[in-house]
Amino acid sequence: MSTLDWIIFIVAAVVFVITGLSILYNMIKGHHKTRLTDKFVWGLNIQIFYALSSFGTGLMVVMSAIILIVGNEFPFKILQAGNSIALACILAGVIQMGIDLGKPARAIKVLLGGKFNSPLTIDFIALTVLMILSIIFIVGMGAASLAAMKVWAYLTILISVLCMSTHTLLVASRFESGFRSNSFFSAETLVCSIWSGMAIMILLSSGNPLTGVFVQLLLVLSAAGLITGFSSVIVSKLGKSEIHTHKKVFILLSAITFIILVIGDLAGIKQGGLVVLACLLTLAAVIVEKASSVIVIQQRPVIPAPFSNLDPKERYVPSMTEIGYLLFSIAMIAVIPYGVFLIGFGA
Amino acid sequence: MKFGMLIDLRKCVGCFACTIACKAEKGTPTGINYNKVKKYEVGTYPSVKLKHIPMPCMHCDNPSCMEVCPTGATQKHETGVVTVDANECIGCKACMIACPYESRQFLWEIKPYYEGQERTPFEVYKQKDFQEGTVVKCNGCLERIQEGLEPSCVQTCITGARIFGDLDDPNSEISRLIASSGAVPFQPELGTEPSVYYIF
Repeated sequence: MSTLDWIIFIVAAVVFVITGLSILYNMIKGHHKTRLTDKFVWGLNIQIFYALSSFGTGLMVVMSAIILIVGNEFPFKILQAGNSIALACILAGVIQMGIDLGKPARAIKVLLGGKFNSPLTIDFIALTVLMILSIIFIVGMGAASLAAMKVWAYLTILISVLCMSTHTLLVASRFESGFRSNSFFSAETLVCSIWSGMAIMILLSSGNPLTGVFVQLLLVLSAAGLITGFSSVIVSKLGKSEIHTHKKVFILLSAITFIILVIGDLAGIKQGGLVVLACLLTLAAVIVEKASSVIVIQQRPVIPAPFSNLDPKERYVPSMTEIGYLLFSIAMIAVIPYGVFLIGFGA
Repeated sequence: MKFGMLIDLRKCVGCFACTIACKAEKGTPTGINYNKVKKYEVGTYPSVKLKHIPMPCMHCDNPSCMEVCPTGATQKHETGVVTVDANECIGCKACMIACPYESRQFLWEIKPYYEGQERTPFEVYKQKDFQEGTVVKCNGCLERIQEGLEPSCVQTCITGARIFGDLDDPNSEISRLIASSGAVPFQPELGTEPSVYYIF
């Protein structure tokens, strides 16, 4: 590892330990230092859970697709690094969800409850299976045959997409019927996952001959993100619903990403600063979309007008504790891949 | 027996006696209110009216809160009442997102009502089954129903706006009133099949 890599790793490890201790404390004592209320029952932590699981599942779908398309020809090390990042994202996301529980020590009841029609149970199982699949890839797929890798890819695609759709199901009840609903919400969730996964893959595979193809696919996915976002605004307009700032920011980021990638494509740019910028904007757009699908939907009154017209208007601003949890996740995403590299699987 | 409640909004005067009776009966901690009464305005200025609508748990026949509960903590009792087992609840709050009636609350913290003082013996006794970090809701005064009593909100209503009874019995007062008055559940289009009916 280079000096810069060591610095990143050590700083991330220190942040990881400090914020990890506070998380441990809160998981044991329960969380009272958030700004969550009975109106905003899910906040920054669930937003980050959605975003990180979106990155992780999206990356795993992209890696599975690569295995199915080019087989053994794609560098194994990149796929291994991708899996360690996907594992870190999913694990960090699951911890965010765990922190948000009122009784984190009882989380095992999700499996014991046997409620397999509950979106949360499906999500819990799917994310656990995905983490196992990524560990299997990191540890045991080095000498695996193409057939074994393909079996891994089939399973990973199915479970990842199941996980993505679950994240629509969890908040589906907050979308109203008819024109007031956002019929493009599921599409947005799916697109954002694969789009962010592709962006991470481009950042990982810099210099690979296939990166140019990935960048073009990113262009296609940014168009899908832009248009599904735009369509949901049209649906809101038809239903005379409020179009909130997060949705506008998402569309703006998608549009800028699309334009950057079109300019890059016309100029024949397949890597470098412009592509990195497009990838980072993609990740930012997905995080904003998750704020939109987790937090903003809770701003709307649950009880319809006129019965809710006199309800107090609440706003949600995350507390320092919740921001601390976010730092933990960011640190974890750096620590796990570097840790995998240090242990030697990536060597 | 199937739990049923009819609320005649023409009779509701917005006295909040049902809210207070519920708090006294259940001893709910600070910030927890099972029996909300929402205020709303009708008409246009200058001809406007302030009205009230009590919004207890609807004890739905098809409760979305129960479907999403990952641990089975939310159950439907044989009387039709929807309950939460505090020992099974993990506090994921998925039921709060799923409930279209804002009937559920999260118990963030059990605090004494009187600042700077210990909880009173009444609070300690009444709150012994409450657990911080779990979701709480109206249980339809199940313990009272099982003793043949009415829920405390029904018993205390000063105008008789609330009628409690058995929806399975076509000859019960509530069934006859629903049939004759054209009472309807709140947002029936959601498909949750509420057991609380309103006369608007």
